[in-house]
Amino acid sequence: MSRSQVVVEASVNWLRQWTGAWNAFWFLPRLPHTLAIMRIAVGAMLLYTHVVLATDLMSFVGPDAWMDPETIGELHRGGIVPQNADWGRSYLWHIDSPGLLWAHHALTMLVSAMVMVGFATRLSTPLAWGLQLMYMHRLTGALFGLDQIVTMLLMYLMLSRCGSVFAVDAWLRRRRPDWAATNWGRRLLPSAQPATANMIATRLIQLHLCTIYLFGGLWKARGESWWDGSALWFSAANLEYQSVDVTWFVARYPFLCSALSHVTVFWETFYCALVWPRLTRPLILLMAVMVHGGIALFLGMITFGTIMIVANLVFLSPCFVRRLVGRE
Amino acid sequence: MPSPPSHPAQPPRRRSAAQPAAPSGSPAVDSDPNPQPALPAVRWRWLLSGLILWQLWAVLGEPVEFMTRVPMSTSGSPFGEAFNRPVSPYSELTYLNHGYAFFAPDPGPSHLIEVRIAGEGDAPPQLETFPDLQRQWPRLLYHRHFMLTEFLHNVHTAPLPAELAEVDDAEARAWRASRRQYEAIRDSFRRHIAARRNVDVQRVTIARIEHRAPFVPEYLLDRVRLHDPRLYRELPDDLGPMPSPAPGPGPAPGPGPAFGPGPAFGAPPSPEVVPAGPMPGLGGRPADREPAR
Repeated sequence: MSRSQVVVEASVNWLRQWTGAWNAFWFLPRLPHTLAIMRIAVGAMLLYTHVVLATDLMSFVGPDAWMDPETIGELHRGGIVPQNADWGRSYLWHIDSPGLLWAHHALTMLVSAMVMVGFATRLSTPLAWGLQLMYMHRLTGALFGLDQIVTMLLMYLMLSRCGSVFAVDAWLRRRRPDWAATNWGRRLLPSAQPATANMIATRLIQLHLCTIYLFGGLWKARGESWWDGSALWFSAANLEYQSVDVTWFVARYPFLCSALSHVTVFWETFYCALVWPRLTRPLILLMAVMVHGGIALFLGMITFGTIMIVANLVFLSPCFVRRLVGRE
Repeated sequence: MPSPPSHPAQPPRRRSAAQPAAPSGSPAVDSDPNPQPALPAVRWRWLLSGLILWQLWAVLGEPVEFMTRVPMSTSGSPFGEAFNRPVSPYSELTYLNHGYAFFAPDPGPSHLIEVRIAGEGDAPPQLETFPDLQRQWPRLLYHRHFMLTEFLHNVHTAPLPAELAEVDDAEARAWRASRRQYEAIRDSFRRHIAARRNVDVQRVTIARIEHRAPFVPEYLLDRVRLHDPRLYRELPDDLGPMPSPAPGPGPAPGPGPAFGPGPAFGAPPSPEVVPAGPMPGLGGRPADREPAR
């Protein structure tokens, strides 16, 4: 065999290995149980955010909102600063009627509840995502990490069969097996068997989460307080964020708190590598629970901290979740 | 997404010895213990692979451009901008366009607003601060108000200094446009307050308030607590007078000694100077902030 043949053969083998690994990574069918648990949590969080918005709806989406529809539209269309134009669009910019806005919001809460309980999930989850996008482009300026993560999770959950287990859909499938066997039934009430769609949704959430943490870590590395260790102090001592005052502790234990600042940057930056090996995954996920639990408890963002923990569930094996829950 | 059907003309592709074992991370274990799970047909895999790559590109586009943006500038590196440009319409439409700079590059001061409603006649003005944990509940509602006031601060641009009023180059036009954007958002806030209070909008003014955290030595030694009035300051709307040229060559005077022990944990950059505003890097670099969306 000539040298060129050796090189060609090695290259072909290498490409074949890549293709096999790609197929295994993205396309092997996967059980829906982890995604189903995440659907319940994301639906509940979505419902909660819309219920809270309803307590002061007109201040955020009404004609006299903090950011009125004309101003929002001009910002997104680049009417004032052309280079700030983007493709965010929302029909809510064009609705002035309080009655219509309330009806729309009631529908949104209903759809969110349907996602949570897993009713008509193949329809309600995409619908919830679409409605969420309309709110995201209407609430410019009032949004934060919670909204980014909920919208991201909804986008991927709607690709999956997350309503095929732990859901009203699963109950309906058992109650109406004849209809579930029809073409429409198979589409709307899919079985909880392993499916490629579940794998793709899982992988997209996992990689998106890795991206979030990587850039979160890199951004922190650009700062100064994450290096000198005082970041935890300036986070804990921010009165507007604070929900539990731990400044007395942070100020008196600089060694511990600076170490936690450094560990946070290390963990965030290297999450994208260390979350995959089985040996380090439990430690990385435990750290996620601690960091986001801390944000939830002490930094006044219980919703954001909670949804980040929910997002991290995606690294739990569905077999493990099925055994843990012990049903279906 | 329905699981794509296998190619009708051939039996479903099965995982076999020709296909490599699943990588660690574990499809083979995480999937049902079905020994030979079917993969989608090849044409479906090609199609899905293209869509997956597009999605991953969109997920990475904005953070790459945002991360590679030059500090104190609104433009990114040529690669960062070029990388994001093809996918930005999609990522903007689907609200994927985030930089993910949570609590970064440094946890900074908070920015509040004080709404002042001029009183009738000699009546004193009514003052209201946003956000206010006592009046906005639950916490998520408070946080939405907090994000609005931070947003107003992030888009703030001072008026073009009088000395540059005649300048009409691209930079000056961009400055004026940024100022008009700030005024549009600020005036929207004013109209909202006026409508809620049922007062004429001309009576409503908004002041931006910065609330910094105390430095650790202030907290421990001077017992400055988080709500101490000295930690709040009203931010000016304009830049103030333009600095006059330095009288002679030589470096500008620094805030402290060039050599000597560095600051202690949580202390200001120089132990001798407690800046009225945030530490360097805590709010002085507008281009580093997450785009307000």
